[in-house]
Amino acid sequence: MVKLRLKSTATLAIALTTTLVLSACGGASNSAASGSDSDGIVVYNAQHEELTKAWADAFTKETGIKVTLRSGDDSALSNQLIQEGKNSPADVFLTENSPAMTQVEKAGLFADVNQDTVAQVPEAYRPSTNKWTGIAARSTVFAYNKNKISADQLPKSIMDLATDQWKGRWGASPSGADFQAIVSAMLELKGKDATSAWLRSMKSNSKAYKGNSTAMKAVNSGEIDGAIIYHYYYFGDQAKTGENSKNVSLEYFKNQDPGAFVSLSGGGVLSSSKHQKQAQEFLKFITGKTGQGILQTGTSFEYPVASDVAANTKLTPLNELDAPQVDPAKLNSQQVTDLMTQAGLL
Amino acid sequence: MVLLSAAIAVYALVPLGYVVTETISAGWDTVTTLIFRPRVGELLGNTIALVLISVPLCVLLGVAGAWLVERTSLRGHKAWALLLAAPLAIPAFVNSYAWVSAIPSLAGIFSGVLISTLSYFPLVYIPVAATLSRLDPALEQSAASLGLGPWHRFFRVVLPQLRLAITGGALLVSLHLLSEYGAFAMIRFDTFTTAIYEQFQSTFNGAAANMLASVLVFFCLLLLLAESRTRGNVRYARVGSGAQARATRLALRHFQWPAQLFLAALTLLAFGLPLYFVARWIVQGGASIWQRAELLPALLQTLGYGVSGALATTLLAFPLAVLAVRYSGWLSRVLEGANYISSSMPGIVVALAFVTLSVHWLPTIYQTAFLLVAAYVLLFMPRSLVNLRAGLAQAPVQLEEAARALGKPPLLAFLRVTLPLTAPAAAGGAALVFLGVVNELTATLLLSPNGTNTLATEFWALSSEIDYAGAAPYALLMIALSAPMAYLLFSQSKKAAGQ
Amino acid sequence: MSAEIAASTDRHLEIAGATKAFGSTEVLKGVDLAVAKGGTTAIVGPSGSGKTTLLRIIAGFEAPDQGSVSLKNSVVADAETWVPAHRRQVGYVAQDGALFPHLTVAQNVAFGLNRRGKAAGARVKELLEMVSMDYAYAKRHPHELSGGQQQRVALARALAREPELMLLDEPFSALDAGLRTATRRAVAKTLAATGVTTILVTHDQAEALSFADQVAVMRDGRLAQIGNPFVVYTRPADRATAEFLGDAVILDAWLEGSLALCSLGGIPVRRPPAQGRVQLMLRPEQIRIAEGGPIRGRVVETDYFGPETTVRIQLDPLPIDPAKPVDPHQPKGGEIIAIRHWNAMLARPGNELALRVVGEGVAFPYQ
Repeated sequence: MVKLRLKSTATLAIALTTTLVLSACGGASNSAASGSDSDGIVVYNAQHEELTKAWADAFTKETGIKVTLRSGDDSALSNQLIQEGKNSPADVFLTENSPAMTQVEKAGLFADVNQDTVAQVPEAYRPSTNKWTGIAARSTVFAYNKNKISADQLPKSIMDLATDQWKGRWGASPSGADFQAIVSAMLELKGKDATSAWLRSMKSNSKAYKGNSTAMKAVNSGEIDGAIIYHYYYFGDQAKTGENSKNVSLEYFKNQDPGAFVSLSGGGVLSSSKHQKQAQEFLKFITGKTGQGILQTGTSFEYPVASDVAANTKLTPLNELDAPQVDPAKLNSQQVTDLMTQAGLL
Repeated sequence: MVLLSAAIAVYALVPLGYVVTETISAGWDTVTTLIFRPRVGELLGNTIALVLISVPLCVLLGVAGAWLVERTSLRGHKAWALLLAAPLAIPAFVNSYAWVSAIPSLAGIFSGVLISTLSYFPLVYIPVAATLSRLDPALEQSAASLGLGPWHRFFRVVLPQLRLAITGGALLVSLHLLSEYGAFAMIRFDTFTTAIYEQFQSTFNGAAANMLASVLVFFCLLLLLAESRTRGNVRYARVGSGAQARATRLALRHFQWPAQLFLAALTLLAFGLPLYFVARWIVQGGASIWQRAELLPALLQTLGYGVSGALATTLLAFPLAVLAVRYSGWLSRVLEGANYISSSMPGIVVALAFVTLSVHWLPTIYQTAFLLVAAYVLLFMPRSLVNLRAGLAQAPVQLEEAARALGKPPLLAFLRVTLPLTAPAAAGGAALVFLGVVNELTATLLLSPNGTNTLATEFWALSSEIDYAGAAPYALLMIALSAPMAYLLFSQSKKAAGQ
Repeated sequence: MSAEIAASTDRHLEIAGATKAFGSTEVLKGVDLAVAKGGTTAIVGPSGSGKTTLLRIIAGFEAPDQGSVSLKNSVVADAETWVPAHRRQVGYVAQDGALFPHLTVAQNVAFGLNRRGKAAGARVKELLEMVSMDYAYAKRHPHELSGGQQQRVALARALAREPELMLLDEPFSALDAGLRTATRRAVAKTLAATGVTTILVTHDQAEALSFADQVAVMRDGRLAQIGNPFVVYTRPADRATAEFLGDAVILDAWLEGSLALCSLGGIPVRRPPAQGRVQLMLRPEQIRIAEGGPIRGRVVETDYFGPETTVRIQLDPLPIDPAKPVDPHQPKGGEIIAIRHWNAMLARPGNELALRVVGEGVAFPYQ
């Protein structure tokens, strides 16, 4: 009898404590997540997580300000910010490509970038509005399998990939923001009709991969001859084991071809942020000597764009790429998604 | 309690309501341009082909396996019985990851069929094996006395009695096929769910994603309807109280080795191969892959969400189960129907609905652990409900009445009589919910609070960057957490058959 | 007035005008029932007659839609009052015993006790002795007991709190025939020893008649008749009650004054309900085989049961008195009746037998 009562009491007690502990945990993680009751900042991060973590760790070490990341893709996060509006928990938004920045800027959600930060970034790598700034850059490349095609068989322009000659031989990651940024450059340079036609032929000509790494891996294994990706995937893999890139070579289209597009990664501070000071400080930090230095020496292999920091010596310097001149403010992500949806790529 | 249950049922219909309102408010023009386009046709073809090929294959493998294990002189049938259920411990996207490691060029419909069949055939195998082991052999013996040979007995007597188990298992497989994201994304096989996720990546919750979701939901409802049609009004036979004669096992004779070979191959492909590749990546990755700072938080957060999801689901399922078991009427039927429908909603649709609703109407719970757990409750409620119902059937209301007549107020009577009697079943259901949460990917990706990573999302992030070695510890941990739950499911099914 | 109050003081339970419906099904259609203190009442009726619902209303598991329930002259359920089951001091034994499967015999019996430790242990022992259960069973679980033992433990459990009213819901129906009688006797003995007021619900008329000192016959949501077992058996209020409580011989008869004329001759009837054409009810055991006499019949068929034989007899047509004018409605007689007899040799098909009737008949208005 006594034993029985003890048993049922114990069961109840266990159930109750578990619930309490859990709700306490839930509460703790909530407050940590929203960041509203601490001085930490929330960064909506579409950049490679490894790079942003390196930035965040160095920043926290220097300033003591905590950084919480929410990772996602450029367009998912930009659309999310627009839907969240004034209620957004985000303080800073970092992207891989500029169209998403432009989209958030048009929605009027960015605060002005501090003058200290603006002063660190050359005019070419920031919009004239100063609502956001470039934080890094990456170049479009045609990654090809050097065992399958020789240099003289390479396409001269990204537009050539629409021809029958390349049917079934190339790939890309159309659902990614990287590729969509390249298409937005094409749209700006070649117009809607040409881009739409190119996308339609791409639907039948190319294989769609999830992510640039996977596309490069497919090139390496000979599954496809080449892929449209960004340059740093190759260098990143080479720096590790090279397992997924040992048969890969890069071709830069140059000649101001849409396929030579250099995409600007952006960073901005949300006007709804309750931590304006810390958020601006973070932006200043990543465009400063230390932040840009991480691009130079780290494993991201993206191009630094500010504070006169040179690129990693393994990379072809930015000014030799002969990239097309594109005003980042004019890149239209919405129209790109619509065109790609119409072409059946999404 | 009725009010609470009704509230839960209304809640269960939120995703369906969301999809319907979005479709209506989008306007007919948008709907037609976004639904009647070649891409949707392509996805439709892929999805239909996947269901039409994988489901029969799963049924074939599941029934064959169950029959060999339960009804033939298969050597080592006890070990095989467990091994055939083992693939359940491997999340489908880990399976996909292993296969891509083995054959990097794996892609398209047949890879989709391969991986989904290997991952999901246990969903047919387990209920069929359980039913077979409970099936009264007297029926087969009567059939034999009526002159039917073994094959005729199987097709004319045994198979019809397995109908419920087979259609139930097939429905589960189909719903998994429709809602799986990770496994198919990894092998570049496009289904509605992968396409919705891609749209989400590009537009957050744009109209195109919602329209694809409405087509997907339409499919799920169609499947439910088809299943309830084939199920008809068949009832499980009540198992008599008398001791049941043991079924005689068919002698396999010279089919013994082919049967052993078949099961060995199946187990090797579905369970051995994924384990081998996870182990291989772990060995290749060495010590460094265990030193990632995110590993421990991901494990703890997974455990936290798993436990709170399981607890919340079980607590909320209780009133529904009580209502369903003790008060059969139109209300409990409606409640059950609502739950049945919500159970068929893919995680991506639930997540899309929750993100949109919370960001606009309930900003206070937006991006909180609460919202994510709420989504888990909705996604995994049926797992808990099915178990609780079986458990409550073991604790008839008369016992509670007896306690009340002995001077215990209703609440105390419930706590001291019904609760302890239902506890094992509730724990079983909670374990299944836990299993679901640990392996959940899409809803977690969309709804998790800032800074939250679970084993599944970390695994996904790393394997998307083709850091397969880095992803391996997460895969191993998920398998380690899933294995006991899969075992529990297997052993519970043996007990629950016939109810 | 004063007489009524005096009468109601020893009433333990009183139900007045109780109705209950589940959805559109009316289960109780106005039930009045009074049970005296210390008495044993059996509520008997076919399945679906509402008897279990009535018991559940007394126990407090259901509330009546209308009417009231009083225990010891205080209302426990009516339009304003509701006393829940656990505060009614009512013992309850369910059909299958409803022992808690996760508890041992001793834990089951001690469930309702407020005592703990040794005091509880002693009481459990005492209670098990009361129902003739060996204390060795105390540590067993319910599934290790036979059906009869389970019922006795259930009774011990219900007695533990010394209730003043004990409700038994078909507690013997799940037992097989031999065990049933033995368990019923044991339970009746225990209950009589404790002096607790008992209400038994059963569909078995023999059980009701042997167990209780008051039988309430329930049919179609109403109490058809209440009285002591002998009265309800020998003088049922209507034909359905008559046939429910036991085998009945029903004959067309012509009632004049208090004498009913039928195939078995003139049978005295107490309290004739009507005159002219009626139905006359006799119990088979009232019809005996005689040495000789005017009432005759021919054996049609027999069924041998060992100690007794059921004999089906074709009666001769009604002997019409030529002195009286023939009424067009007067029955012709000549029915086939079934009686029982100990001597199988006497009753062979084809044999001609003389019959006589012992005691009075009961007449029901002709339908």
